[in-house]
Amino acid sequence: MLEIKNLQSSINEKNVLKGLNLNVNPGEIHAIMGPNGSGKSTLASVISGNEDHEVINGDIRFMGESILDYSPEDRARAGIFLSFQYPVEIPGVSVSNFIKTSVNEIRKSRGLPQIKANELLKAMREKLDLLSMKSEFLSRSLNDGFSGGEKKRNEIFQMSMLNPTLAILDETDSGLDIDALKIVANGVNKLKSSSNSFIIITHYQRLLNYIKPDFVHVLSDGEIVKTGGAELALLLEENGYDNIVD
Amino acid sequence: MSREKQKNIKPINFSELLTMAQNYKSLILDKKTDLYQTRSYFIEKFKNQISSGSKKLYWKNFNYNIFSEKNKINERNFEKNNIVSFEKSSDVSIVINDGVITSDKNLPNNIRITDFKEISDDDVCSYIKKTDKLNDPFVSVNNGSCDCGFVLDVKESKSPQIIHIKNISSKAGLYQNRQIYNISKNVKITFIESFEGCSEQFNNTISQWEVKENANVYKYSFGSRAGSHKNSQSVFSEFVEQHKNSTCNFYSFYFNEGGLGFSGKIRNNILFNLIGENITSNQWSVSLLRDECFVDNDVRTQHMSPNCSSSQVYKGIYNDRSKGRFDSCVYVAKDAQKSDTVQSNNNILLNDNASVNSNPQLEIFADDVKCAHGSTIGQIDRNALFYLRARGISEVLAKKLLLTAFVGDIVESINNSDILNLVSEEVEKQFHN
Repeated sequence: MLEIKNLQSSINEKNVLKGLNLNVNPGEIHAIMGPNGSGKSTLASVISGNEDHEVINGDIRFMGESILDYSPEDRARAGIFLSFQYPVEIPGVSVSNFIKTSVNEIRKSRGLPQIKANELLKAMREKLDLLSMKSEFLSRSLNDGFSGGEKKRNEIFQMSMLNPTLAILDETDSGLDIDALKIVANGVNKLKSSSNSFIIITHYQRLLNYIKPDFVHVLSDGEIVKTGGAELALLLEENGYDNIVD
Repeated sequence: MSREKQKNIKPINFSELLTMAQNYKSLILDKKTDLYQTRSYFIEKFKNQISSGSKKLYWKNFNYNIFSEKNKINERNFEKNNIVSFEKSSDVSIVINDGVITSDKNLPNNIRITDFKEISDDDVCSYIKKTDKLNDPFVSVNNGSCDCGFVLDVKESKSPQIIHIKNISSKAGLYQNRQIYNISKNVKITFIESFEGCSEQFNNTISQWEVKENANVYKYSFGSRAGSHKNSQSVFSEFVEQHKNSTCNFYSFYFNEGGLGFSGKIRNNILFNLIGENITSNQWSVSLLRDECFVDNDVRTQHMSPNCSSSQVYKGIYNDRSKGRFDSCVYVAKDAQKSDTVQSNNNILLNDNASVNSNPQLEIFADDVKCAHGSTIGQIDRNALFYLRARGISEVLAKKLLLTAFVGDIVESINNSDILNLVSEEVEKQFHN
């Protein structure tokens, strides 16, 4: 589904990713761990098309096609979803209007008609229930004045509404208390199927207690330096990155 | 095109304006009357103001010769599609055609409109003397020579009313007007002001409001008093005197596109004088500009008594070579304790050639007040844009969403749902690319 080959990127003339390789197949969950500044969030940004980052070398192929020339919106329409580490506050745009616009833009790109208002509302209510969120949430301004936990839940809510083929969760667990963490993990597990995949970027093993990864990768200085199974995360939690990176 | 524009730039021709004012004065036959004396005084004041003015003054920016005959040839009929109708959102319409009241039928009993020419000389004198403190040549020349306009008296009624004042103008060149609103106590009323016309007009209007005790006035104003011609220019001086327990919510919308769109330059001299206690006074303004349009707001709000609150919330989005200005001062007199004031001016520049100047000021002489002021000038937030695009929303639509949201708080504050819907629809039309 996703093939990343020798990916090298820079931001403000500073090289961040330095030849990264990653293959994600349908139905797989990949966890990416690594010390601060190793390039985890950069990888998420580059896959989703953030134009602040420049790809200097390598390729990203999604469903068999190179997406390097795709705009962020085209990548989203192709089925890539990024759960932001820092969701942006947008006063004046309500959550429901945002979801409606997003759903319809994606449907339009696939040649589908606009979703009926009552169908959309029903779907939104279902997903909110799943994430233990109240329906008042829909009329609030997007992330405006949301607590850290609300912002992250809102990301998972959007993910469940858009039903992406590939979801990248960028430190979705940071700032969440244990109850919120379970709710978020539950949302991910509900969405998981044999046809979609997840990349979970995290600092801690904690989230992986609730979402079992098929692979754990350690990213260091812009490259994946070690890959293992779920047990690698436990090992990292115990021994830190130093032993592995050096 | 730009060379041609350069050629047209010349300062306003004050001598022609003066001649016109003096011609007007000579029409008053009895030289001993108070009216003659008052008019003469203001014409003299105007003469002094224009001869001593520094080059920095705003009227030096008005660059087109208002009286030459060749400009009048450009006069053309108003052509604009999709003129917005306020029929649904108002109870009654008053139509002012080139300064003449042409339709005031079906006016409720509590509302009376009188042509400015019909009121007594004493009344004329007392109205124009009220604006003597203002040091502006356009106010002086209007005081010295304008006899066109209306006096609108509103008495208390059983239920709130909504009046649409539709100004239509076809004249090129100088057009002066004076509109006087006497709002009696306990009145609850909403005004909608719209302006139609497309000629090279230089409009110099004074609007005077007296809002008595416990009255509540909403005003929604759309576009330029000089119409929608790209060379039109409007100097608008608005004086509002609020008495105790009164509330004013004045909205101004300056759009370049759609049925309420205008073009040209606008200068607003706005003065709110809060002379009683427990007054609420809110001003809201939205400028969504393109091309070479300019909206210049000079605002003064004077808190003279305790326990009053005021706000000036001005927002602008500037495209192409358009310009904006916000120069606002809130004055709090020594006795005006517990004043609560907010000045806020937020701007987005969409283009390297667009510009805005922002200058919120405070003059506070009381010691127990809450006075906030702030201004921002920026661009579309790149992170917000990426966030929306990462959800599959096209760049064009994402920008439109963000810009609409930027002015959303002002639009949402409109408490009349018909007007709110109408404004929302017009805002939508502004961001088509």
